[in-house]
Amino acid sequence: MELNIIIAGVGGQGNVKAAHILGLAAMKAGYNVNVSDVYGIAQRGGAVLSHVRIGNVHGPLVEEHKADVILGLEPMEALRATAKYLKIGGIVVLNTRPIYPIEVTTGKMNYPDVNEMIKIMKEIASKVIALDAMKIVEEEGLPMALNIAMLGVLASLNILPFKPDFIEEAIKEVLTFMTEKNINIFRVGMKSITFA
Amino acid sequence: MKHVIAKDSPGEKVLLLGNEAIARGALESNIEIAASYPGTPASEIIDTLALIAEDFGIHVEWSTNEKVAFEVAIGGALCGKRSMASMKHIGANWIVDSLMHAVYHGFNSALLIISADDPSGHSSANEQDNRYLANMAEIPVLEPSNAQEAKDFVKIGVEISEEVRLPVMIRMVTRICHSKGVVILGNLNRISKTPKFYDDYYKDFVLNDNIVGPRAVPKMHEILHKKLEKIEEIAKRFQLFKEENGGGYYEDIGIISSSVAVSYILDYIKHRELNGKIKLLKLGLTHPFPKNIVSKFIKDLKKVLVIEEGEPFIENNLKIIAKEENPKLEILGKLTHHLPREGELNYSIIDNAISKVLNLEPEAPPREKLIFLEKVSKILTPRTLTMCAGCPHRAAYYAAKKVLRLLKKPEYIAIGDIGCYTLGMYSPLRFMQDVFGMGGSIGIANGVFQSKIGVPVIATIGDSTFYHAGIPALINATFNKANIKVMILDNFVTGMTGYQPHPGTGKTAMGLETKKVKIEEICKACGIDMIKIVDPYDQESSIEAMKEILNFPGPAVIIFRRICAQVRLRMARISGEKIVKCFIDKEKCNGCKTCIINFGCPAIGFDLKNKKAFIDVNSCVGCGVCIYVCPNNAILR
Ligand code: SF4
Ligand code: SF4
Repeated sequence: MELNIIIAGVGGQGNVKAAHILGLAAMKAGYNVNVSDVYGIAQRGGAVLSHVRIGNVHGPLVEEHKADVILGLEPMEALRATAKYLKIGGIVVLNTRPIYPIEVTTGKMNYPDVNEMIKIMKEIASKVIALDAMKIVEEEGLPMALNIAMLGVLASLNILPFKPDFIEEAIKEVLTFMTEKNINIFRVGMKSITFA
Repeated sequence: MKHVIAKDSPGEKVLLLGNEAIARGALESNIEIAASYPGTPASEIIDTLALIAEDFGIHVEWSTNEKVAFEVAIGGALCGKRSMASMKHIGANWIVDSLMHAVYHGFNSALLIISADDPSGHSSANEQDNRYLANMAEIPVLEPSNAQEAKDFVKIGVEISEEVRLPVMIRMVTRICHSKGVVILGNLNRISKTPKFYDDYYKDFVLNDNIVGPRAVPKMHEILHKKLEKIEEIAKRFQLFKEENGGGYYEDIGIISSSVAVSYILDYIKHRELNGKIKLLKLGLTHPFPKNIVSKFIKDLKKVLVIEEGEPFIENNLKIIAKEENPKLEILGKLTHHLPREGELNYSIIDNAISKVLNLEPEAPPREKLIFLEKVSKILTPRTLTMCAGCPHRAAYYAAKKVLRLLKKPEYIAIGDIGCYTLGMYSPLRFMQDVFGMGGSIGIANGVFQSKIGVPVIATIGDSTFYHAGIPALINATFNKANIKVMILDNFVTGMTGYQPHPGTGKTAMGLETKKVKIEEICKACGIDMIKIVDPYDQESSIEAMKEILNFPGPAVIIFRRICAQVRLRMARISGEKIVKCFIDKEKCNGCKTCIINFGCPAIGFDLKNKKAFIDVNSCVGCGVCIYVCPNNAILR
């Protein structure tokens, strides 16, 4: 068994924490796991990729064009990761709310159209699940928990080799602050795509 | 439980970062003193240890710089406490002086150096292979290849260090420091040793031959060499060398590797179903070079491929040995361009290299994907780094630039230093023209002034860096009358590496209260007669102060003091404080973009449709500096 997941987002979105929770859940379920976070200088606002490798794996990073799943916390970073890492026929799970880079806010460049990006992803992915997860967490009053909601969406897709309970257990271990609220968000995330 | 590394449950599996694994290794091997200066990718070692230090009676500190950290560890080891100092690769440059002395000594307790190399320079100014530093100092180097080994090698390092009485280096690399893997916990047998100053070393090892003074030096050097001769045997005992994969099919081809590269090779062997078909020698110790082990491995080979992270260290050493053992051996690696010499390794690089040697087809990326990649890259925008929204450094640079413009001094030379504020070199601020290593800004500004360049000479440096390495250079400015202007950007924290405390914060690594060492008092004691302290959010006062500094006839210091915006946000979140954000009055905004082009707070965006600026409420921290920046008074709170 080998499952390679990349969580793509921007510094400050809780990318690293989500990867840790996912990895911890896999370990609790009895799997070997490697988790690596790739980011530039230790600063906010830059692109962050977390590589989560579950099963009989050795290297710290997912090989190019071999990821089974891209979990995108930010659409453009998800597309970037899809291009570089997703295997043909892999799955993309996407939060559609953009975070504009400085090149865009300063009006120097245009941010790509989100619907267009989703359309392009479909050329390579077998499935693209796109939703405004930011809206969900805002409605729940916990905008910080976007990462947890997205883990919920991922867990509802039946691609992980273990039950969502293991993720809940991992959340309890990692998020000692507002634990119950986060578990709730995770569950909301799990139910969200049937309504989307 | 403050951190999983504190768990007393031998045999339990936990998920640990390589750096956390080092911290756990320190705990399991009874390290009692650990010191460091923050530096990515090594910082989490001390960050983690500091959380649990008090419970285990360990002394953990952020020292003022790496040299001091290493000397603290020497002092600990000298008094019978197992000690370690951790640092990033460039940080280790600071310890060279102390290290070259320490190796001639000998300690009764373990002395470890944890050195984290950063190939590709993900968060560093260079790529530097510290195995060469260990080579120069003549100390053993252990190279863990994953988190489990990171933990285990600390323990082995401790034992080797005590057995031969030498400092031992554990060479980490970014991809191990910052990767998490499953680690099986070992025993925690903490015992606090009673401190005792051991003075037996010179007496027993050196002076018993009745040689003193300079004549003792070659003798001590000889002792060092004798110690090194034993290392390979000891390392064998600790199973630091592994033939991971028995040779079968490819009889006369072998691979030698160390560190994280081993894991890529194991993935390759798995993918290519080469299990049991190709010989792989994994070196857990690379210095002193394990001559016997390697000689035996290459004896009957025709070709050997060396795969290592960093410089061709193993490769070069192998050449020397092969000359005697197997002169016809073809040695392939970085020097033969089978692998790139620069940058970090990854799976594809290794796939290409091994496949070529084995005459296999390298795995080509699917054509469809390459076309896709090309197509996508056309619509993607880059995401360059910038200082955070509300960063006080941006405000400080903005004020300084404004003054230089007001004083009609368009020409100036500003040298930057190492920290978040280094980003002030890039657009839109473009304040400094150049940057060097830690503390270099003030020192280099000294020389720039002495060149009689005739324009204002400015050095910018952060608080932590000032304590680390700025002070002697500032004294030098007074001493040698270098009329430089030093901007000290004090945000009360070592921001770039993860918000560690420093001597100005009044808190130690372990969170204990301590006396604050004030930057202004140091500057005064360095002989600086003009010192200004301002809040960069207060642009008017900042501009006034900056003017005075520039007009002062002699070296002068301006301290821009305001807490790091990220730390402030975190504090507000904990205390529940509501932050009042800024917004833009659409009526008044004429779309001039001053706030964006000249200032560049990432919370301010530009709406291309109605040609007006806007502020993103999610990222704005309400610092209010943009209110001052807008020439049309369109920004309000
Ligand atoms: S500086 Fe003021 S007027 Fe100019 S774009 Fe910014 S908010 Fe609008
Ligand atoms: S108040 Fe202005 S400068 Fe400060 S964070 Fe908000 S938008 Fe940026």
